[in-house]
Amino acid sequence: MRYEKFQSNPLDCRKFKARLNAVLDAREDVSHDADLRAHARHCPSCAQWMHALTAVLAAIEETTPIAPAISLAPQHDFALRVLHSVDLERKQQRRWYRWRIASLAIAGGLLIAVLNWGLPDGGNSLTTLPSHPVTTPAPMRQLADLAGDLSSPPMVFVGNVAEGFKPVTTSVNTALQTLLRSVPGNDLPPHVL
Amino acid sequence: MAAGGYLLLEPPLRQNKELTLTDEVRALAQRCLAGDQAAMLALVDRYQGQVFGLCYRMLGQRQDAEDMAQETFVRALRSLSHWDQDREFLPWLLAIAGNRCRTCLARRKTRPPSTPLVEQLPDRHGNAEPAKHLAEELQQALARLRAEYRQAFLLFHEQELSYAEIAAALDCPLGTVKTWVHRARREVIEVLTKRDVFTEAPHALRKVSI
Repeated sequence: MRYEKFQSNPLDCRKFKARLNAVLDAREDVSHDADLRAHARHCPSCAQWMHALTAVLAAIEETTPIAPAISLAPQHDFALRVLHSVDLERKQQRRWYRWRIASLAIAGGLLIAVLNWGLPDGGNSLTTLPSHPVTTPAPMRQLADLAGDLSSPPMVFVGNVAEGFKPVTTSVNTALQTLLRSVPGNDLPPHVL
Repeated sequence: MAAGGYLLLEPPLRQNKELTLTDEVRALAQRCLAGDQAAMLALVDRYQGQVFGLCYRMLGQRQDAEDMAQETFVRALRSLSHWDQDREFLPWLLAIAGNRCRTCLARRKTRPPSTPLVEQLPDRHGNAEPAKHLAEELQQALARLRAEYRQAFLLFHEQELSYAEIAAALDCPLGTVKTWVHRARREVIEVLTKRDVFTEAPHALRKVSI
């Protein structure tokens, strides 16, 4: 990194440390910087700071490379352990997926069984909606009579309006039947539900 | 950007020995993704020293460092498809290692250690070699730094990554990384000065001729 001095004033201690950081950031030798040397010559504290920092960085550079312990096993000992961990993780993941699918299937089967037993007509009420209308209450009829030919329309039970939902319930029924038949050991006839 | 009255220009390209190995590493990575175990072994062998070195500096204990280094490689191999092949592999790998170490350090805080985390050195013993003593004291001083300061400092000075590489790997601004490194330098010197490492062993210093 090249520096362009745009101030001709000598460094003060604050600028000295900033300059020192900049030189170290550029990975240049501090001993080659005339401004740093000039300030350090007159400031023992900053000189000590610079010496300490260069000593620390030299210690880091000169430290013998540290390696993981190698046993009597071949030199790939550490690498083999890593591979083994990766393999183990993959096996655990596969096992977990298998258990998840099995438990979902069991839960689905139990749910269907509970629904089956819980409904008095064996589940037929899921697909059959009542369609009888509710007659208008007496006070309304009196009011209608009083108003002459003005009468409130009869209230229609929601079941009639919901005729359009029958295809949806039929699809759900079919899906449930398929799921139930897929559970091993289930021999319920297809028309259940 | 000005620093103490000096204008910082574009730094020259750093001679990174990894640049010449990039294609080789990419080829290795491709083979690893295809399930080639020999390629995985080769990748681990190539980088285990650097990864372990960083972990040891971060954690101060060999056993923890080995565990974290192993975990680093497991994670790296598992998420190798997420590595951006247009970038260098080593910064990405060391970022994983640094993050693993920081997780380990955070876990240490929540449970009391059964063994000393870093060997507590006694007061200065005059018969030790000064360089060895400085290295030991340095390890102690690094252990006192905040995890992110320590990580940035080691990645810059020990692993010799550039600020840009560290910022990309840690996914934080370049200015933040610089701040961390500068603060780490200051705090390490302050701790070592307080322990009289330099005043009592002046021959441990590499004197800068002034």
